[in-house]
This record gives sequence, C-alpha cells and structure tokens, in this order.
Amino acid sequence: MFKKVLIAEDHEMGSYSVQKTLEDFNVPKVDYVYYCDDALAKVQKAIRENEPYDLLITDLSFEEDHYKQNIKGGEELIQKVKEIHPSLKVIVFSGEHKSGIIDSLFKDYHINGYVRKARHDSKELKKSIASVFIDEDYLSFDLKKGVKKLNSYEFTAYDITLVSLLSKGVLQKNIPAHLQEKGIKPNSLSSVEKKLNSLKEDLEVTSNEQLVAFCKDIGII
Amino acid sequence: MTEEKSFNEKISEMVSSFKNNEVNTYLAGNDESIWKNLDSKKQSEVYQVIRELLVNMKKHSKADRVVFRFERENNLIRIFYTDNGIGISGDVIYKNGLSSTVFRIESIKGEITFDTKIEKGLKINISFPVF
Repeated sequence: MFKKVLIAEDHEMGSYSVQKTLEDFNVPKVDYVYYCDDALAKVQKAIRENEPYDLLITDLSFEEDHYKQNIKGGEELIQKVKEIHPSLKVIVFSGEHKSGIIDSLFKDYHINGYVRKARHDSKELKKSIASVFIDEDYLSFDLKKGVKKLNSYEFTAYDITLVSLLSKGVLQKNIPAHLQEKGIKPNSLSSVEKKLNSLKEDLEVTSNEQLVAFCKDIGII
Repeated sequence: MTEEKSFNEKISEMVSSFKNNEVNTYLAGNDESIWKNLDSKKQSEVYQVIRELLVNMKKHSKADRVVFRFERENNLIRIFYTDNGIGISGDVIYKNGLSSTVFRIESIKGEITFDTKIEKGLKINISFPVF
C-alpha cells in the first residue's frame, strides 16, 4: 500500500474523512493541508528530504480567505506538483460532475483517479486508492457514463486477447496460465477478473458469453 | 500540456467526434505501437481516409454502430472498417466520396477492398506498407 500520502482539502470535515479512509488502509504517514500553497511546499520539502509522497488526494475548489494564496485551485496545484514530481499519483476528490472537466483532468493533467463527493463517496474513494495503487486509473462509478459518452469505446490489444481466449473456450480461471505462456502482463487471476468485469460493465453485458457474442458481433475478434 | 498529440490519440479523437446518440463508435487495437515509424505524409492520408469513411457512414449508411480495428504485422498496417448500415452496391463506390479514398490508398501503395456481399452493413479492409 501507499507509504506516504498528502491530502489537500479546505474543508476540515472533508479532510478528516479522507484521513479516516486512509487509516483503514494502514498508510503509515498521512499529512493534510488546507491550502494549495502549503500542499506544494510539502511536496517540495518531501522531495528535498528524499522522502517523497507517493499519493496526493486533492480537491479542485478551495475557498478563498484572508490567507492570500498563489495557487488558487486544484488544477493549478496538480500542474505545479507534476512539474516537480511527475511520478506522483493523484486522485481528485471533488464535487465537480461536468464530464468535460473530468475528462480533461485525466487527459491533460494526467490524474490517476477521480471520485466525486456524493453518495457512497467513502467506498468509492477506497476503491480508487486500491486501483491507483496497482496502476489502474479510476473513475467513480456514478460518472462513468457521462465521460464515456465523449469517447469511442476503445479495446486495447490486452482486452482483445482476453476476449479471444474466452471465445476459444478457455475458462476464466485458466486465462492467467495462457497469458503467462505468451509473456503477457498483467497475468494474475485478479487482474484478469477485474478487466473482464469492467469490460462487461462498460459494454452493459452481464456474462462472459454475452461479452464474447458482442465482440464477435462487432467484429473485433 | 501543449505537447503534440500522438497519432493514435488524434485518430481516437476524430472517430469519437462522430459518436452521438444515434451512432456508437468502437476502436480496437489503436495503440501507439501500431503507427510506429509512419511518416507524416502517410499519417495524414490515413487520417483523411478514416475521416472520409466516417463522413460516408454518416451521410449514407444509416448505421448505428461503426467499428475500426487496427492490426500491424511487421511493417504492414491493416485497418478493418465495419458498420451495420444499409451497405453499398459495388458500382456506387466509385461514384461517391469514396473514390478519393481509393485514390488516397493507392497513393500510399496500399490496397482497399469493399466487402458488400455481407448480409447487412459494410466491411472495408485496408492494408498498406509503413515504408
């Protein structure tokens, strides 16, 4: 799990609940700040001391008060932070729900996860932390449809390999062995299951059989 | 943030721009590695070809689903286009906008075949050498 996490969130209660969520993951070092300037300073200091953060969880909008800030919002913070620490993973936790803005966060700001402050956000945040930790981008479930609408559904070569194996009658539990044989990664059963589940969810089918039928139908396998 | 988009991203964006409430667009295998070493002249021809196919689809096909699949074998790139529209009959191809598509593919020493004999819709297979 992540070893050192920074939370940038202006609302005290919001920050507190994110801290609580991280506690459940037993993250040994969790820092929190209420201002973007402080967040950047913390990231700089951590790099200087050779103990960099491995995850930033940040809000997008920060209310202005009597402490004058150079960095006014989450987007600018992400940009600045990525300049000095490009490999730092970022999850945005915000009330924003416009798909165009969220899409651009992934495309232009290269964030790794987006969780909207809404019902079930604590659960979604947990899932996002777990996904981002294993290098998978995460978008909370309630938003998936909106952002997907902007894009074509894209099958990667990996997706096609998985569905092709299924179509040849290989059982899901035996797929990892076939992937290992071909030197394809990731090849753990859990990553295969996860990928197939997200494919099914995105394509709105419920079983592997339907997934195979759909892919045959549109001619990608 | 101002960095040049890679070719696969350009294609993905352009194809997505044809997606709307009536038409679903799917892409398969549009990875960066597919387009490796393809020079900018050929890139622009390929881009225009894909755009022309989509424009034709939008104007004539009545399809609600269009799929592009990309494959690469050594230095040969293959593009498989499929839609589920009304299809076209063989002699129509050269009378509409697709004649310039054929011309473009020939200009990059590629081949294009129209499979109009399938039950429903249209299949177009394109292949061309990278070098």
